[in-house]
Amino acid sequence: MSLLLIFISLLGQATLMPPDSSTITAPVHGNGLLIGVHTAVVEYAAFRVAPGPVAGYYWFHDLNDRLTLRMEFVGKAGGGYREQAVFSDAVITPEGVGRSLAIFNLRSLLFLEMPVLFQFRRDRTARHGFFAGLRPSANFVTGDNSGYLEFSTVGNVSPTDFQGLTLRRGVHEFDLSVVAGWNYALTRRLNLDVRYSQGLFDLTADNFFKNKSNTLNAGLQVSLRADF
Amino acid sequence: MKCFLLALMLVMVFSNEALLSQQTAPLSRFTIGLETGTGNADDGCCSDTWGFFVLAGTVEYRLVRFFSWEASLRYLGFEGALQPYSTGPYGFSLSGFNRANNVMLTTGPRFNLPFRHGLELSLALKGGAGLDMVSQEILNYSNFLQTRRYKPDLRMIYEGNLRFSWWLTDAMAVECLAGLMTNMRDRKLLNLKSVEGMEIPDAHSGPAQRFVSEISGANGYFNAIELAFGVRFRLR
Repeated sequence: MSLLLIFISLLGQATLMPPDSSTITAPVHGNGLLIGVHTAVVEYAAFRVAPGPVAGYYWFHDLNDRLTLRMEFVGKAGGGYREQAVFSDAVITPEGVGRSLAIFNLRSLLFLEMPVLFQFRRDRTARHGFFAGLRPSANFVTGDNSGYLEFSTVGNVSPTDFQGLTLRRGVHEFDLSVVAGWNYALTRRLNLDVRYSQGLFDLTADNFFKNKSNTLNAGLQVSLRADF
Repeated sequence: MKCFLLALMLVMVFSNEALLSQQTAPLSRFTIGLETGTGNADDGCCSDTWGFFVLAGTVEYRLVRFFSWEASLRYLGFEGALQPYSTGPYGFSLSGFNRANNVMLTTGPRFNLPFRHGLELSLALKGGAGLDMVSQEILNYSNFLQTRRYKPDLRMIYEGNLRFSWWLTDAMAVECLAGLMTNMRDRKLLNLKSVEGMEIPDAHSGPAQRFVSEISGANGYFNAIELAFGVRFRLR
């Protein structure tokens, strides 16, 4: 009997519900700030990755109790690329040799992205959710990544002039990716997102970099979303 | 004995309820923040830099409403182009990239100016130490020659930033930050740790020697401007 009394008293120490299963009522619509870190695969053959910051604004609206539409406007800086393009030409005349050489190095990019995502959760009070969608992006070369330029003429004969070429011409301005991820509501206003994005198209022009390898806007992203 | 056990049971049952009612503790003076961002850096060895990335965690203690003390652990990375040297179309053309990774720990005061509706503007001035880790990739025209890695170098770091915070609740804020940072410039050069790859051609004469001399003269000095976004949490 005494042991039973002690056992009953110990039951009273237990919390009514384990913390992991506590529910939360998410807002129906809203907007907020997103910050995070992404790790992009910059070279598939060697599986070389490079980190970078992600920050932006998002807006969301519940379509029903289970489905939410979310749009994000995000800036992402990516480095660690090692793509190189070489253009050369030479003319040989009795007076001498004229030479033209241009080397371009792609080392970093800036992505302005607008993911459109659909998030699914069990019900409005669930903390966990999964999301998927498409992510169009506009791509920009950052910094002066151009390399060596040389141009020399001999007499009245000139080699091909590559000085009009820019690295911008070797990078596709727009890209599209598919996104899938998992979301966890830490509090009513703070969410944790983990997502993987897979670019569908090559970022670099094969006829500029003279290779057939694909450089894709792909990688893992971990971010916090804070509702205003 | 039975009365004792009954009393013990009642105390244990109701103490749990009493403890639960006390678990809504007052908010602490401590806040922790996480921020990430980009910017631009000026490195002594490079004609241009790019790929600036900063990731930081901060701890702040609010002493009074307008003054707090902050410590931050920050990772900073960027890349730059080394000054090229060429001996003409029949010789070589040496160029390369300088990669800097820095981990820094700084601390200092923050002066806060709160406004209405949870808005706050603050200014921080901090100093500390940073570990500078530099590596260089050397190219001859478009051909990779070697990777040079330097020993980590510890030096003083100074930074100041202006932060705009919006406290969405008592315990959480979003913030935007703009800052300047620099490390101590001195005459000490970085020590070469390892060289992987091929030898630089004619490294002991002419332009190649000047190139080697310049890239070996890297001293890890930089100054940078950053723009970051973050979230901040007030501990309970």
